[in-house]
Amino acid sequence: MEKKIIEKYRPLFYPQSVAVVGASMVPTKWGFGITHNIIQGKYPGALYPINLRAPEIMGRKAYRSIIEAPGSIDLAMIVVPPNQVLGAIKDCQTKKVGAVVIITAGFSEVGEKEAQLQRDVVEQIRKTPGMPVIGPNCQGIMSTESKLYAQIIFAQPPTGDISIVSQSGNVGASVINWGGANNIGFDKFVSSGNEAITTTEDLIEYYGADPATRVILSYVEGLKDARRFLDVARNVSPRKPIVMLKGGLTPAGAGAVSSHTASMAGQAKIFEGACRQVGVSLAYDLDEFFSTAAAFLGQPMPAGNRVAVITIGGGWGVLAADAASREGLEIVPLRQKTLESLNSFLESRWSHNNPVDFAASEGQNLIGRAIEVLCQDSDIDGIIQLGIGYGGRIREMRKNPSFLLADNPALMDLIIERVEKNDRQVADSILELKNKYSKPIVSASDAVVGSGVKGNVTLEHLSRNNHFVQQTPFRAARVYAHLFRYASYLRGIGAIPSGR
Amino acid sequence: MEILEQALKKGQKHLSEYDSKRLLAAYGIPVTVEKLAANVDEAVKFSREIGYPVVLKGCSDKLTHKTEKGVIRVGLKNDDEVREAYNAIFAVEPMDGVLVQEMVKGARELVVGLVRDAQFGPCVMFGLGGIYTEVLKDVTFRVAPLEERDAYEMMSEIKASKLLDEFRGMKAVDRGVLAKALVAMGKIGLDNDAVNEIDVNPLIIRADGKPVAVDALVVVGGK
Repeated sequence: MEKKIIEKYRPLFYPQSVAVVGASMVPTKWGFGITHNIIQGKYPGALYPINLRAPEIMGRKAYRSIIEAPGSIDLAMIVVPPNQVLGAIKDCQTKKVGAVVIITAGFSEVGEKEAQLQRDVVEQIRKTPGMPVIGPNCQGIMSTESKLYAQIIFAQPPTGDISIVSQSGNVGASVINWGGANNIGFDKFVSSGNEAITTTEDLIEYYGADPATRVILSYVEGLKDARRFLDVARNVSPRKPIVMLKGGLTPAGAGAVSSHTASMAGQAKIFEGACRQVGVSLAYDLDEFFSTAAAFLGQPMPAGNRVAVITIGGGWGVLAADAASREGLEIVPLRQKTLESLNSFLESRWSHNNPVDFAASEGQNLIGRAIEVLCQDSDIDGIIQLGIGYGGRIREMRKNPSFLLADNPALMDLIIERVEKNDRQVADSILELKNKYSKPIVSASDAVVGSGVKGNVTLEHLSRNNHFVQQTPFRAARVYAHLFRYASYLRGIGAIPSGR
Repeated sequence: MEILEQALKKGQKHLSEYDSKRLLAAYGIPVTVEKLAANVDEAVKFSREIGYPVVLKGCSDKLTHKTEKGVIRVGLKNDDEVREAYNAIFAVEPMDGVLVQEMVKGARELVVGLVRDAQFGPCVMFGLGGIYTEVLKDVTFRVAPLEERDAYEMMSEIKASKLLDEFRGMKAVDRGVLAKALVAMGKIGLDNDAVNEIDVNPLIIRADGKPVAVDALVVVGGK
């Protein structure tokens, strides 16, 4: 069964040849953008622009119809005007194209007359059942392993293990931009548009079977077949986390939805209950959407909700404790043995409590040592760790020519080197301890606020190791709660053993 | 189900409270001990059988807003009170008969329901009941078919979940019975296309922890 799905979507995500039907040299046309972006993304396979008049487009030989293109075509991107789409589909079917992406807009999302046009196209497509068709009214797809960046808006995020299906182009773009800024990579991306043939449920099912995907992100406004979605999710979520963001959960949002993708919104509480029922993690804003997926990539499943907060700065510690309580996590008091252990190497002004507040203590990887002590405490299921990556900030500050030590670059280098070395030690301790004790350590840092991970050596290193540093203590607590709920779901259905 | 077939034949939009409860009982959902009296003598006879105190309610598929119409009398302690109540109720408007019901004591009121969501199909609702239901909206949903695991999660999810534990000297609710009731609710929706909606409010938790449906309304008609 899984082999069949993999094979069905192979021409979509691993095409050896791509045709752009409606390719254009006119920069304002989408036929230009798509062709340009595929080339800019360095797609290594055969690329055939299909255009009635031009003999060549962007250095590639063009053909008057897809039928005239040489050899077989795995994937066709259709960018012609709405009234030409039906003809283009017929040509694709004659050519026995493996998969189609219809970028063209102006179908059921506009009105009834246009919906009829879409129905005609669907009827024609159904003559070759089993061919994946994305759209219409979509922004394109991305398959990083194939170096295929076939989207209207060019983006080339790092490669990684998260795959996305989004019913909105700009939500999808947001996720990709965020990935780029934070060094968290993606494997596959589909802007699914009107989902006239291939739906969100279909793609989640595929991502579930796809060995290259470890975490699934889905933005929906309406589900074509909600019961099928539940069946698919129930099947997939025990193996891979599904993080969902739903647009149209409020009446106002729902009003905006029905003019966008022409499908129904559904009631919020029912949707929330349904997600919990099948182990889908539901996010409520874009930030939570990305952060949760990133956390699932690199965190062990927590055995419980008893959390220790460890922080360099007091304020963040307080906020984390509040946020954790609100999320249903327990800020447990520290055992005598743990207190004694921490006392033995932390400076006397530390908080002697949970949150463990260092009060700016200095020393060789104190954070790492303290985290290990907390991990060894069997009353503690997971850690929220606050404050890391400061070397990167100093490096940024240094770029300012009026910085005090600007005239002493050697000294500056020394300071930065020392801070980054300590940073790196802490970072590597966190990575090591997460695995050694199989307990989640969710990090957040003021060093990330406002700037993301890019340019910060330590934080980029952590991102590359699937340890994403969150931007606020609230986000850290929220993400931990998602980890805990998912772990509880897995235990509830017997997918992982209960208790430790 | 015969109750439903009859109702559809007659073109009814709802089942009466009595028929609604018979449908629930057929699926194992605990309901109040009750009988439908066709005349005042039967009302007295049934009251004695059930045991005082009793509740009398006007009963008909068309009779909604029972409280507002004054067709409910509670705490009837003897034959005379029952006779008087029966006559007063029956005079209000045409009805099938008068429901003679055990009087259930219990401060904890829950709501259990079934809705047909346009996307997900039959869904079970559970939450805080009584007069605050519409105001507080402390309810949660699952899509049928439910597993018992889903039912237990619903119980923990509502804000008023502490009511289900030992509470102010009252015993904790029998969660096993409650879970089976929630699962059964979902089954009713899956088995019977004719059932559009079910509202059980209140489902009272007795002091001994046993849950019982005290009022029920089944909306019928199919698509």
